[in-house]
This record gives sequence, C-alpha cells and structure tokens, in this order.
Amino acid sequence: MTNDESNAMERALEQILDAALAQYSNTEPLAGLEQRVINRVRAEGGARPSRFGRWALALGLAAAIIVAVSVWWMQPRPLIALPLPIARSIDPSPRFEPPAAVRPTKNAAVHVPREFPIPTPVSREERALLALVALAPDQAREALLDLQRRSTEPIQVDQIKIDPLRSDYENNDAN
Amino acid sequence: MIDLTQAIEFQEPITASCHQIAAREARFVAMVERQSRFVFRVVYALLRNPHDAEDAVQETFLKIYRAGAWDAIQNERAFLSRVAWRMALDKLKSGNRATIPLDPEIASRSAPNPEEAALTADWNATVQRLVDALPPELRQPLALSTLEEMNSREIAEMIGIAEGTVRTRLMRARHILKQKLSGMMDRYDQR
Repeated sequence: MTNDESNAMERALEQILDAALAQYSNTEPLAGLEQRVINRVRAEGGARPSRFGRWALALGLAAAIIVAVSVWWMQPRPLIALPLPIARSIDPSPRFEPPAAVRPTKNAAVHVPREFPIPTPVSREERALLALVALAPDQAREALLDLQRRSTEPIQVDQIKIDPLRSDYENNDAN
Repeated sequence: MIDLTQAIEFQEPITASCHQIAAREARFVAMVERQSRFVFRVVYALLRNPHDAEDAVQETFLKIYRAGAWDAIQNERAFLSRVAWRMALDKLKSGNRATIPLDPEIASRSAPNPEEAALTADWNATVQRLVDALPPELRQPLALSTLEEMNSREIAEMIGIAEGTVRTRLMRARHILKQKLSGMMDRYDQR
C-alpha cells in the first residue's frame, strides 16, 4: 500500500468514525419529556428528610426509649403491705404466722418499713401477762402499780459496819 | 372593629412569601424546559436506552429540586451534567435497567459479533456497537465527546479526571476503533 493509499484509507476511516460517532448520542427523547419531568417533580418533590435527618430521627427515638426505660426502671416499686402477725385478741394458743413471702425486688436493699418498730411475735412472758390481765384485772392492776411504785422508790441500803482488823497476838492476848 | 392597617401589615409577608415560592417554581420549570434535553443526551450516552435515560432525567431533576440548592448554582449546565452523570452511573451499577435494544437492522442479521456484522451492514451501526464494546474508561469520555455541547474540560469536570487524561483516552479509543474498522474493511474487500 502506497503512502497515498494509506492516507486515503486513514481519511476514510476518520470520516466513517466521525459520522458514526455523531450519530452515537444523537437521540431525541419522546415528546413531552419536560412536562413529564415537571409532573413528577410536582408529585414527588415534597421535601424528604435527608439521610442525615433520618439517622438523627432514629437516634433521637432510640435515646427517648432508653431514657423512658431507665426512668421506669429506677422509680421505686409500691411496697406490699406486710400482714400484721400479732394477735389482737387474746388467744390462749396464738399461732405465729410468718409474713407472706414477698418476692424480692431489686429495691429490697433500700426497703423502708412503713411501721416502726417492726411488729414482732408475742413472747411467752407477754402472753402470760395478757392472760393474767384478762382473768384478774384488779390483781393485775395492783401488781403493776406495786411494781411501778417499787421501781420509783429510792433504794435503801443498811449501813455497813466493818470491825477493824486485829493481829493474831492481839487475839491471843484477848483470849 | 378591625384595624385595616394592621390586617394589611399582617397579610403582606404571607403574600410576599407566596410570590417568592411561585417565582421559584417558575424558575425551576424554566430550567427543566431549558436543560432536560441536554440532560437526556448526557445520560443516554452512558445508558444507551431511552427509557432508562428518561428515568434518569426525571430522577436528576427530582433530586436537585429536593436538595433545594439548584437556585444558587453558578454553572447550571455543568452542575446538571454532573448530577445526571452520577445518577446514570448509579443506575448502571444497580443493574435495574431495561435491556439495551439492538439496532433492528443488526439484530435481524445472523452475525454473532461486530466484526462479521460489519461485513454486510452499514458502518454507523457497526461503529456504535464497537463503541459499546470499549472498556468503560474509554467509552464514557468518547460517548460524552459525541455531544456537541461538551468539550474535554467539561468532560473532565463531569467524570472527575484530568483534562489531559480525557484527551489521552479519547485518542486511545479512536485508535482502537480505527484499528478494528480497518480490519473489517480489509475482510470486506477480500469478499
């Protein structure tokens, strides 16, 4: 192939290429593209929260939930009223019933009883005293008054007399 | 009794705000009418399918409308072409596209590759298929260079590479195309 032929071939290729590339993107959209674009923008163009906004919203919600759960968890639970085991009436053989099992809660460590001092079961001596009051109230009153009186009276102690010590010689001489 | 002066003073900002919104809408519509065909050609150069290209055009304008920054841009065409180009690339990567229709003339032939098709077909269609077969880094600047509106500098800004790199790639692309065409013409002449 001579130089002229080569150049002619090169020119022909360039022409074919330019003509083809000119057509490559030479495509027109369907009629009414502008109106379709405008219609879609009007239909869907409302401000949508950005990606950051959506994340911020999600994080805010999560934080609010965590705070709500924490507050609910920290607030004190209502205390269950303990049944009073003390027999109010005179029962010759009162039975002590332990308080109903209270489900331990996380707040048990800071549990504050509503009644102080905490009621305790009646001892044997107390029970006997109550029985005495019921059976002989006058005697019981007398006994209590006497007990009170004696507890308030000053204690009198006889004077102690101690003889002086003597030696064995003195004892022998005296004998 | 209503104080009319106060009522008018209260109404004025609302009326002014309505006018501003209407004016802004009108500016946006004007921009769509001015640039939508250019944006279409940009995305079509990459997507090579009119339906996908129209989708990309609509999504491009929708995106910039929602972003709200379109009103203050300096170079409207450059801004739009960049947004449209990214939109087309996303569409291309997602694979959620209509199939690229073959040219009916070429499709009707039983030629399995561009070279054989070129032996019996018109050169335009063959060249276009050869361009489609180029690697993306060569095809994209070449396709954009076919748009009358775009020069090397604008292509470089849009793709995000140096202007010199765009020119080098264009030369390489044309060189490859000429080589392939030359081989086809030789075979065509031998027949």
